[in-house]
Amino acid sequence: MNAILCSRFGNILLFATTVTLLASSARAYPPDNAAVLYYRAFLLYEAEDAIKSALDDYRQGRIGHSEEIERYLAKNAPIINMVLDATHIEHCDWGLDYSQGTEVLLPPHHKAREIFFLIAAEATRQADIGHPRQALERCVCMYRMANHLNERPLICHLVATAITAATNKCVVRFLSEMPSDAETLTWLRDELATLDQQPLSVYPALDWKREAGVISMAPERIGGVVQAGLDEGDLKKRALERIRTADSQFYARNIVYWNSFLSRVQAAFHKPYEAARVEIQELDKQPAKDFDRNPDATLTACLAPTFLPIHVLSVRLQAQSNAVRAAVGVYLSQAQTGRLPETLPAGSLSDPFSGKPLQYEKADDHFVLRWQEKENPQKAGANQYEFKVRP
Amino acid sequence: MRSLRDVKRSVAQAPVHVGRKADDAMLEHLLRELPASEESSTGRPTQVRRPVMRPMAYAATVAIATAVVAWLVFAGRAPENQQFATVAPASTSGIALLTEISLERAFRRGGIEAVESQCRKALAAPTGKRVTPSLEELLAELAGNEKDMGGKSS
Repeated sequence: MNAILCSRFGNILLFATTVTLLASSARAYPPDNAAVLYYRAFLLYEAEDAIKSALDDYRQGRIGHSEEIERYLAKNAPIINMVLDATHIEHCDWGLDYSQGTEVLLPPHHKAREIFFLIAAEATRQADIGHPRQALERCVCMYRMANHLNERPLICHLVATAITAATNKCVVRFLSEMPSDAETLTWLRDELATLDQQPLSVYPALDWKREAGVISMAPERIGGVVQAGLDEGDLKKRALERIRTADSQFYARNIVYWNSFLSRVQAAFHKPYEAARVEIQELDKQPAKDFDRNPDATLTACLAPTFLPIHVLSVRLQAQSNAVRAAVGVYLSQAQTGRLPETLPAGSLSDPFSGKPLQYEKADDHFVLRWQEKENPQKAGANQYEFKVRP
Repeated sequence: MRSLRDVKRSVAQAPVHVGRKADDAMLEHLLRELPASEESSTGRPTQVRRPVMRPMAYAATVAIATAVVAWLVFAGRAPENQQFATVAPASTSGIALLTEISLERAFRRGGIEAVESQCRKALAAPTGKRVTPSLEELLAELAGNEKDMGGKSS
């Protein structure tokens, strides 16, 4: 009797397991974690050196469409689709072990950038063959990918920033070339508004920098961290010497200095641009200045990055993104009224460098949106986007 | 031979350790130092004219070391809970190039392109491009494994 019961129970269990597996395999794609698809794409995509520069030139409009590019994009269509699918998944967990502090191993970011170049080329192809909506859809996907890449480490934030900035340029180009289409522009405006609910922000990276620094300022970690993080030189040599003879008080006092320093940096990032720039510039020099006379500044001098360029990049991206959103408003107004508006539409985002509205200049066949960045004057036109207007 | 004063200075400058291990470290440090004392300041070996001085110098050194350690411990000068950091040599492994701190260093050197280049370097296969094995190769390998495990190969 027992044997029969056991046998029946075994069959039921086997059946239940099979059904569960089938059910789970039926909903296995797409997975609920976007990082699974990104990692798969990173693993499978091998960017061919011979075509890399052609893809970049094509994306930037320096060369036209070619059969070689067409073939390459067709060959890599499964990778492109995999990444586009990933961007539609809300949850993205890269599985980073944050308990390692600044020694956390990061995903292979070069692959993310290579895949960006691939998809940007595919978006350009869509625009070239007369599908601007599809081109812009791929751009929205790239914005989402950048948000997924924006994990807490500063490097992740910088990679995400680079991809967002490059996508902004693609959008400027596609908007300039597409015929007036209120429906597509309304869709794009709404998509950008949705993205803005979780904007690409530098603040989580600053929070993590502070936390990671404290984790790394442990006697068993700090030596390796300083070895990996500093170039050979006097600072590294002297810091390692202090670490060799450090006692527990040294670590406690260095953590206090670090927390105080990071608090001031974080507060400065929240200030208006000009005040922030002056303060961050001073803060960047402070740990190195204190190093000689104050041993408490030793580890901060070793671990603190130079914050000013990070701040400038963050504000510049904000200015560019605000300009893209303002341009969509201008194009939408043109699509609805048949002419460019005299001023920027109400509610347009401002220039974060000046705190004033973006400068708007219109001509017959184009309009310009300009921001007042002082750090980037060497290249003419670097502080503005020019948008063409099709008759 | 180094004078007793030199040896004393050497002891005074040696890293401060406490406990049994620390005593061993102190002695090890002294033993490393002492052979060098046979070199004169000109770099030429000096003849030990009075061999009887040598054991006396060792004895004096050990006595001074013991006294210094005892003084540090009993006078309460040695910090409690002292934790010495182990400073490992710089790692050269590929994986170590993918840590946040290492990539930040790359970013300082050359921006996002340097980060990209370091990632590529970290993951570069040492034997060149990886080739996906063919079905035949996989089957052959499995057959080989079967043999190794004592089974039959087809």
